[in-house]
Amino acid sequence: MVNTANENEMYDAIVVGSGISGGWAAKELCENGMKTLILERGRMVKHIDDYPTMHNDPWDNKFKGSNPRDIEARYEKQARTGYVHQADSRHFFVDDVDHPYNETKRFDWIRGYHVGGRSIMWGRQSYRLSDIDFEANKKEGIAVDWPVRYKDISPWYDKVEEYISVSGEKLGLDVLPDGKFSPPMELNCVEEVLKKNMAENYKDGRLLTIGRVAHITGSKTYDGRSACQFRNRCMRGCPFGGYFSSNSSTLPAAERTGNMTLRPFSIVTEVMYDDATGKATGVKVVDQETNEKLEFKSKVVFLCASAIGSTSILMQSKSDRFPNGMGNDSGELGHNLMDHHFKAGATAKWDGDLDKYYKGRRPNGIYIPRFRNIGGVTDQKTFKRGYGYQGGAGRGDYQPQIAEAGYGAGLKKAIQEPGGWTIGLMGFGECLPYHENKMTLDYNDLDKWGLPKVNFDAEWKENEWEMRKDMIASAKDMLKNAGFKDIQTMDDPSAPGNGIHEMGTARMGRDPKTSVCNGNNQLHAVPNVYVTDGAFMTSASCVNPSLTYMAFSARAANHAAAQIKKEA
Amino acid sequence: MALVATPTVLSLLQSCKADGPVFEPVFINNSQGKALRHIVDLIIPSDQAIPGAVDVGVHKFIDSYWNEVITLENQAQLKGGFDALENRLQDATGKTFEDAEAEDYDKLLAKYLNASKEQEEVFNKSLGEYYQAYQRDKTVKVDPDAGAFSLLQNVRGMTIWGWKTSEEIGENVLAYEPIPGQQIGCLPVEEATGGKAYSL
Repeated sequence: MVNTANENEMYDAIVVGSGISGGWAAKELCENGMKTLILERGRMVKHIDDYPTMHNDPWDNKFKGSNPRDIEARYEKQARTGYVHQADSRHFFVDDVDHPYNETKRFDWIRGYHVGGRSIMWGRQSYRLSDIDFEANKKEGIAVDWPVRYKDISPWYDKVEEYISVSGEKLGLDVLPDGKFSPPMELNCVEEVLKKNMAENYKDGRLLTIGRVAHITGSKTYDGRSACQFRNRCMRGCPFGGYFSSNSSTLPAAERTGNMTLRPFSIVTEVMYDDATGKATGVKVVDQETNEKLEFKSKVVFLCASAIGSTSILMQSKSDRFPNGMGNDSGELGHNLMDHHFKAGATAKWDGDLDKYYKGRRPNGIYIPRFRNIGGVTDQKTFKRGYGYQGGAGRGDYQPQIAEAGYGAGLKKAIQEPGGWTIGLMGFGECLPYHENKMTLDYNDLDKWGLPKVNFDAEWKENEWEMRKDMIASAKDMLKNAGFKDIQTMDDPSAPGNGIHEMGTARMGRDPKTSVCNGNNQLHAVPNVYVTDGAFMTSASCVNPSLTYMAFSARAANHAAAQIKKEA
Repeated sequence: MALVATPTVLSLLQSCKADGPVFEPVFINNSQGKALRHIVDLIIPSDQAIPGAVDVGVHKFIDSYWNEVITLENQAQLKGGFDALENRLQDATGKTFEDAEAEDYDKLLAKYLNASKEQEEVFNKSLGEYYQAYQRDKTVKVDPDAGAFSLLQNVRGMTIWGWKTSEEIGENVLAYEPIPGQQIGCLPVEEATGGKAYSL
C-alpha cells in the first residue's frame, strides 16, 4: 500500500499528514469505503520494525542519552524542550538545520516528520473539553464563538476513547467530563497523602486524580495491541502497542480495509482549486527526496498536517479567488495562534514513608482538574479561564544522602537505596486567542524545497501572566497545607510552542467573515476541504488537546463520507 | 547482558587497577587522567561484593564525555579546574598529579566533598563571582579553592551518574526491571526491591 499512489486516479479522499488527526481521518474514511490517499511529508515508520531504541537501557548509549556536540548543534530549537532530542528519541524529531523557521518572537516549533507524526511521541494525556470551554468565548466576548457544543462532540469522544483505550477515573465533574475509561492506574502513597489532604482542606471542589492517559489497562483487547507493560519508554515507540499511536492503531485499521494508499516523502505544497465548481480538486506535491513535482486528485481533501503545517499549505494555495490563501476570506488564517503555558508551579520534599516504594514505571502522572473560574467561590478577579496541574511524586532524590556521605563506602551504599520522596505540581494554563499572535510565510526566505519558511510572532499576555501567579501560589499552598517540606516554586515561562500544543490558526466559527472553518471542520469557502488538526481550535481550553483532535477528525471524516455518498 | 560480578572476576578487576593497562585519556592529559582515576576510585571504591567506579570504567566515560559532549566553554573551565586542583594538591602534599597517591587525594576530597555548609557557601560565592567575571574576560582565573571544589563536585556527580547507569551496576546491583508488566502504587520497599533503588 506504500508508494503506489497514482496521479491518474481519482481518489475519494486525500489526507495530508499521518499523525493523530490524519490517522483518525484515514481510518474513518477508509472504513466508510472511501478510496483514500494519505500523503506524509516524512519517511515511513512501521510499527515495531522502525522503533530502533525501544529496548535501549541507559548503558546502550555511549553518553547515556546525551548527544555529542556535533549532533546537539543540529537540534538547536528542538533542544529548547530539554528532552525530545536526546539519543533515544531524536530520530523522531526534525533536524533544525534541514527544517529551519524564523521568529519575530521566539516560538518553539517542536515536531517530527515521519509516518505517525507526533502520535508516536505524544504525552498521551487525554481529556475532554466541556461546555465551560465551548461557551467561554461567547460568554466573555472573546474572539468568536465555537460553532459546536459538548453534545455535538460527546459521541465522538466516546467512539475514540473506546477504540484507543483511555485509562482513567470517573469524577462526575462538569469542567472535565467523564469518558469511556479503561481501569485507572494507581497513585503512590505520597500522592495519596496530597489527595486526602486536599479533600479535607479545600471547599472549592478541587480534587486530585490519576491522569487520564491513552494506554491499554484491564482485560479488554484491541486489534494488534496489547496492554501497557509499564516500561515508560513510550516516546521511542512501543513494541507492545501499549499506548495509542497512528502506527499501532488507526493506520493498520485503515490499511485492513483495502482502501488506503500511503505515500511517504510527499510534501504537499498546495490544495488545487477549481473556480468553476468552487471546490478543491486535489493537491500538489513535491517529493521530499527527489524534488519531483506531482499532482493527486480527489473529491475531498483533509488537512491534518499539524496547525502550522496545514495553515502553511492553505496560505500557499493562492488563486484568483483566494489571493491571500485558500479559505482566507476572513483574514484570520495564521492568526489566533495558541499553545498552553506551563512550567509554573512548585516542587517539594516529603520526609515520611521511607519504607514505601512502588512497582512499575507508571507512564502517567497525577491530575488536578481546573478549579478556577467555574462559578461561585472559584471565580477570580485577576484572570479569565483556568489551568490544571500535572505532576507526581516519586523516590529518587539522593542529594541529601550525598551531602551526608560525601564520598567513599558510605556514599556507595547510600546511592544503591531509594532516595527521598519528592513531589511536583506543574500548571498547564489556557492561553487566550489573540488575533495578533500569528504565523506568516516568508517568501523572501525559502527552504530546500523552494517553499517559504514559516515565521512566528506570538507572545504570552497579561491574562497568562496573571494566571501563572495563581498557578504558583496555589501549588505552594496545597503542598504547604499537606505538610510537604522545602517547597520550591517553579516559574519558567519559556515561550509559546514549548507546550507542543500549537493550535488556532484556521479557527472554527459560525461566521465566514471572522473564521476559516465551519462547525464540521470544512473551509467556509471550499466545503470539500476539511481542517481537523489543531488549526481548527477556536479556544485552547486548559486540557491536553489530542483527544479533541481525534474526535473532531472522526466526526469530520464521517461527515465527508456522507457528503460523497450523497453526491455519488 | 553483563557478566555477574563474582569474587574471582572482582579480584581480577582489582589486580588490574594496581598495575594494569595505563589509562590513556582523550580529553585531559595523562597526569590529569591519573588524578581522575584516583578520584573516581575514592568516590565509589571497589569492594569484594560490588564493583567500584574504576571497575566499570567511569573514569573513561567521564573523559570521553568531556571530550565529545560538553561545550567548548565548559571544556576550558574544566582545564582551569584541573590547574586549580593541582595547585591545591601541591599546597597540601607537595606533590603533583604525576606522583600523588590515593591518600594524597583523600585529603583533598575530605576538604572539598565533605565540606561544611558554611564552607560550601564560601566556595559557591567565589564561583559565582568567577563566572560573572568570566563573562567579561575569558582569561580570568578561578580561585584555586573554588576551582578545586567545583571540579570535584562535578566529578562526583558524573561518577554517581556513570556508575549507576553502567551495565554492570544497572543490571546486577540495582533493581533491574526492563519490563515490569504491572503497576502497583504503593508497597513496602522490602517487597518491591529488597531495599535497592530501581536502576531504570
